[in-house]
Amino acid sequence: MTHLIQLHEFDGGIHPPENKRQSNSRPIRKASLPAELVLPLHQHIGAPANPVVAVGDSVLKGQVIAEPEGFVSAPLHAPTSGKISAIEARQVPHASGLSETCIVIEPDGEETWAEHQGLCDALGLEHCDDIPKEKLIERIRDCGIAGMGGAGFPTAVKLHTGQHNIDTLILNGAECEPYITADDMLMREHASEVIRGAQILLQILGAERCLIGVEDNKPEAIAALEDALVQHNEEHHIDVVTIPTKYPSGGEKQLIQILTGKEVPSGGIPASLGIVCQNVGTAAAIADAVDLGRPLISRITTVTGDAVRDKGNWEVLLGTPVSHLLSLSGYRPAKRERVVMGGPMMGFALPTTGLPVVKTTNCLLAPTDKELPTNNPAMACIRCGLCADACPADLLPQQLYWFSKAQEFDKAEQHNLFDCIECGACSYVCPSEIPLVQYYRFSKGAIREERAAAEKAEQARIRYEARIERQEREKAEKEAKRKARAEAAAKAQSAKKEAPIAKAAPATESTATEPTTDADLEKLQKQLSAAQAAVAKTKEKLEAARENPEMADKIPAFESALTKTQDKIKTLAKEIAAAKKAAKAAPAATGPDKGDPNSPERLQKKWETAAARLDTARKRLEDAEAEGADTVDALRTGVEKQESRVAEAKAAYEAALKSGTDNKPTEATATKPDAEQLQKKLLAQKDRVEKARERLEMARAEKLDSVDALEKALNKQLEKLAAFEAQTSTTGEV
Amino acid sequence: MSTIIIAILVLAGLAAIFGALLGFASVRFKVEGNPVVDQVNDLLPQTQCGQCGFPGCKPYAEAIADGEKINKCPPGGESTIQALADLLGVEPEPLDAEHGAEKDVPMVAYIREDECIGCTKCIQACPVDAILGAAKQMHTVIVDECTGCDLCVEPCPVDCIDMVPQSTDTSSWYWQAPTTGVELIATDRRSITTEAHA
Amino acid sequence: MALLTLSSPHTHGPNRTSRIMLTVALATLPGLAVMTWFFGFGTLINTVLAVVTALFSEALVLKLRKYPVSFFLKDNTALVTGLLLGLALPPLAPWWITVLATSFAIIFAKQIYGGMGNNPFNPAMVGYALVLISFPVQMTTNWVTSFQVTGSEIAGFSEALSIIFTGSSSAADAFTGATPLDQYKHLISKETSDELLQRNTFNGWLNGGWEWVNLAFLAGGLFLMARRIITWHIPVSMLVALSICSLILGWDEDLYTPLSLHLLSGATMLGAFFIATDPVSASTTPTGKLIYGAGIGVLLYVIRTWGAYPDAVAFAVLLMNFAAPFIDAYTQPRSYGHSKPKRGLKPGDK
Ligand code: SF4
Ligand code: SF4
Ligand code: SF4
Ligand code: SF4
Repeated sequence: MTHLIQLHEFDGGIHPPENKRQSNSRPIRKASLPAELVLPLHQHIGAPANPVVAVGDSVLKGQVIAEPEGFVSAPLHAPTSGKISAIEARQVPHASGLSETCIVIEPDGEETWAEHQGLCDALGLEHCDDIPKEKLIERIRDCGIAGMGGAGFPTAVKLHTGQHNIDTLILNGAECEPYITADDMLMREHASEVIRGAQILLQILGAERCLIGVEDNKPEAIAALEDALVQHNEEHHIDVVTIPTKYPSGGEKQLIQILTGKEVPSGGIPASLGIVCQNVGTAAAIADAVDLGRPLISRITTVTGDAVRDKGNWEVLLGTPVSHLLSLSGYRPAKRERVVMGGPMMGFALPTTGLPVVKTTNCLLAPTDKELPTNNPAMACIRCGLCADACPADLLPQQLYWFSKAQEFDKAEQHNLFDCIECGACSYVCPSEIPLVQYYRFSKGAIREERAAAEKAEQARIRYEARIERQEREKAEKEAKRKARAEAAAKAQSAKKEAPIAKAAPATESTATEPTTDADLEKLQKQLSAAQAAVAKTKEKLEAARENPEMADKIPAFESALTKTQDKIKTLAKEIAAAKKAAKAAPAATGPDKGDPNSPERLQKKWETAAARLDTARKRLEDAEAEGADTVDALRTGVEKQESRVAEAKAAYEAALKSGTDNKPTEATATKPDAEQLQKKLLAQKDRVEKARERLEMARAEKLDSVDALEKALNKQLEKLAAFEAQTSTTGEV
Repeated sequence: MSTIIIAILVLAGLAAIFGALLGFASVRFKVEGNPVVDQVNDLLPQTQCGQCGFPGCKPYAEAIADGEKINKCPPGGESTIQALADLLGVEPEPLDAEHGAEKDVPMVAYIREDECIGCTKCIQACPVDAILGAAKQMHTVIVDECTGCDLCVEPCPVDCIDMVPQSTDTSSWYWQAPTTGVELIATDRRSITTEAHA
Repeated sequence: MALLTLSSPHTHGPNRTSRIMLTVALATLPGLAVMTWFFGFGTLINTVLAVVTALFSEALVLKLRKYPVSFFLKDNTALVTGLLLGLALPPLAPWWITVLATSFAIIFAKQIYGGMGNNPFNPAMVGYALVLISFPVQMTTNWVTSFQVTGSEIAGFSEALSIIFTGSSSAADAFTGATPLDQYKHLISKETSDELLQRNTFNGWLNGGWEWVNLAFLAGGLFLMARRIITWHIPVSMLVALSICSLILGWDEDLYTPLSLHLLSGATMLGAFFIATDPVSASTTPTGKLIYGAGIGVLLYVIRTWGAYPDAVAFAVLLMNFAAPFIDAYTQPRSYGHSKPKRGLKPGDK
């Protein structure tokens, strides 16, 4: 050590039995090739990788088999040469025991490497110190390196520090969890790679110093690192710092606090303090990637616990099934069998041993029940505060527990639930043996889910509103178009009017038998507009006369003239109307039955529009009644009239329908769709009734108090059904 | 006499002080309110399913603001009723069964794509535009946008839309709250610990 | 085969609630011994009676609630409640007072609220307050005046038994009377401090026996602290607050009870180390504990000096129990990564 580092202490923490001797007394062994390797596409935090091989492909050791998907992701490489035997969903090592897509490789036993070389050679540089940092980061990304301490965050992403100026690199060699010795053994046997990795990281980050924090229970590792420092001539930049043994000193936040006294802001990242923290295993992997071009295809994993005879560390290919490693270590399944991936404090118990080793698997712990007894049934919290004393994040675990249990998530959040690092120290000391961490995980998950749901609801609201807006706009556009069309039509008509009458005349002659023709109509209309113009003029004159006393004597004359012209207009209007009717009737009489005003469709439409009008009339009446307006009476009679009209229309429709179906088989096809639709509706309705009945039955059986409401609903449905049935029978198509 | 005056003065003084305090508090702690309708609408699940009898969540929110019952939204279920009750300061009521039951798992629509005839009926029905497709083309539900409102199921002429439970993957999965000690002992402890987590 | 999957951590430290409660019970033993030495077998008999009643009531309620009886009896909390009540009640209190107080404490103050861990108030003190309010005479006059003072032997085992169970008051009158705190408070207006201290109840410097009883509880409390079962916050802040009040407000021994009597008489040490520290109903944050303890100290002094009751541990503790959740919400520690501690309960609270 060259510099004196002022150590700080973090609050809380515990001293569980270390149990590291069992596994760190013999060198790392190389695990043999298993029968198949299973590589989950999602071994890191972020998006799962995207397979670039197909089933049946042959791959070489170190060949890319899946590419990263997006920025926060990492590629995957074949750990050995062989054939892709499957790409399918398999159970993955995760507490949930869920399945995700995995690439399965059947090794050919040759271990043929794909072509690879160090970055320096690949770039053809003379001085390896000159490699630009972008190239380094790119290499780290291409080699699929993700945090090997347990979290599995893609390393390259962590090295994109953006605008933060990094002055300190911290390598985490604390390994505070009991039982695990993977980092310990790595530092002993690969100290040189660790230091080389630190050099590369320093180069990338432009940091001035690097602190390697190692707990004082690993003297051999510390000595090895010191030697390697001297070898690499790096004593001035890199310090190996011995820190006191206390769980969880290996937590990133805690280690930063110990070494620098600074706290990572809640919700922030260490980079905002000018610090980047990496695991020593990651550093070694980086050295391999940059200097040798070897992607991350294997790692060092501790296999320990009393259920295995041969405890120790293995260098194991990613994807190796846990059962393979266990059998190499002489595993004897114990009573109440448990296999934990990770350490006893933060690891998770595997649902089966068939799951593969992944990038984050630092330990496999197979304890006997005697060694690590499962908790007794939890008692109530006595608020002893031992958990608060142990919490390294200075939370109040007892309060968090209380709120989580009561599902008062907002209070839990207010008590900084999300600053909990799930270290398990609180559970460890809790005298009531409450699975506190599980409660926190539950709360966090539920809060996250709630947030996601809220976000989704917000999204749905926005989309819904956008849709409504769009629909309205479309309607408005349609309206505008319709208007435009109507205008155009009107213009066309007036243009027609100016067209020579002679053109219309032959037409008039040809249909001489008809009382009125288009030409006549036009004439009448012309007269009408002339008369209207005259009226307007007379009115003007009349007005002027009234205002001007001198012209007073002319008023009666004007008035009589006015009434005359108005009378004329009236008769004209009448004539025009009659002409129009006739004109309409003419083609209708001769045209195909499509225009038949008595066809069932038409009648139905009529009926429908009448009914709609009735509805609006009723509504108006209601409004008027509510407001006590004096139009009530008028509206009432209006409604009555409308009612009779609807009845009429209906009767007409039904009669037409009957006659149609009775007399004209062609008409039946026209009504058929209606009948079919009704039938469909009827069936659906029956379905609904069935469902409602079932629900009611269930409610009755369980004596729920919703019985009444359900009964009501059922009755309603039955009514509807009856209505449908009646309707279908009238169409005569049942 | 003087005691009365003193008493009155003291009371007046107190009144003034508390008045000032209240005034200050009302200014200092003023709630910047968005109107009740929006607050209510924010609590509704925005499924837009219409099960409440209104054409969408917003209309129901408006109705609630006008005094409509708060227990008519099945997708929201008990939690929404509770939240509404908290917001409006009324007693929560159990969900009105007439409008349907709360589903235990969130659902999403799934279109069996080879059966889809491309009639676009479901697109017209979906209140949140969660279905993609064009006339005579196969249609697909955008799972992330689907609110599971069921509205697209009925219009489909070939019945190729199913409601399936929303799937969990490793990133959305989370631990459930542990069974308490009492519950554990109530049954055989060992079988519970193994079963519940197997 | 499916393996056992439980949430981490997969290991557990040596702490156990039942063991903690047992240690608390053990720590009361010196006090119990000294009380028995000075006040006769009455204390012991009542304590045993209280413990038996507590366990029985607990078992009964658990049975009624269909809870596993042995599992919950083994947590030893009922044992501690019974013990504390037995120690707090007057040594020669009639049996029905003990039974009433204890069963009320267990059934109403503890189980009705949901059992261990869910009671907002200290059950022992609820039981105590109930009988103190209901039967003030029996509760204030059944204290034994020590044998050194009266010159007579303290009540022997059979005598104590008969006083407690048959209530033969003729036998009792020879041994019983008010506590020193009670006497000082009521007589100081008539006599000077020096005259008072010459009385039988006060054996010269202090009173016969009470100082030893309190010292024994202090020792038990220090043992608990050494075992890290309680922290220093509550006892220290409570005793300091009591002392400060006494020194500032009651420095005149001819008008007020002196500090020495406050600290070493009555239930002061029992209260400070065993009752106020009952974790379930106390405040649980470090700062909160200080406030909570100080509150008890101040209330204790106020009620002792100006209230109707000679001793006030029960009321002081119960009053502060009310405040504990509030204190907790507003004394959260500053968590890692936060520049300021949070206050209150709602996310909006700062
Ligand atoms: S350690 Fe356990 S019993 Fe004690 S306060 Fe924390 S959660 Fe409660
Ligand atoms: S698990 Fe969370 S609450 Fe418990 S000690 Fe660790 S950080 Fe604190
Ligand atoms: S029932 Fe449907 S439409 Fe009505 S508020 Fe609830 S989610 Fe919205
Ligand atoms: S896809 Fe179907 S279920 Fe999903 S939101 Fe749209 S209409 Fe509702």
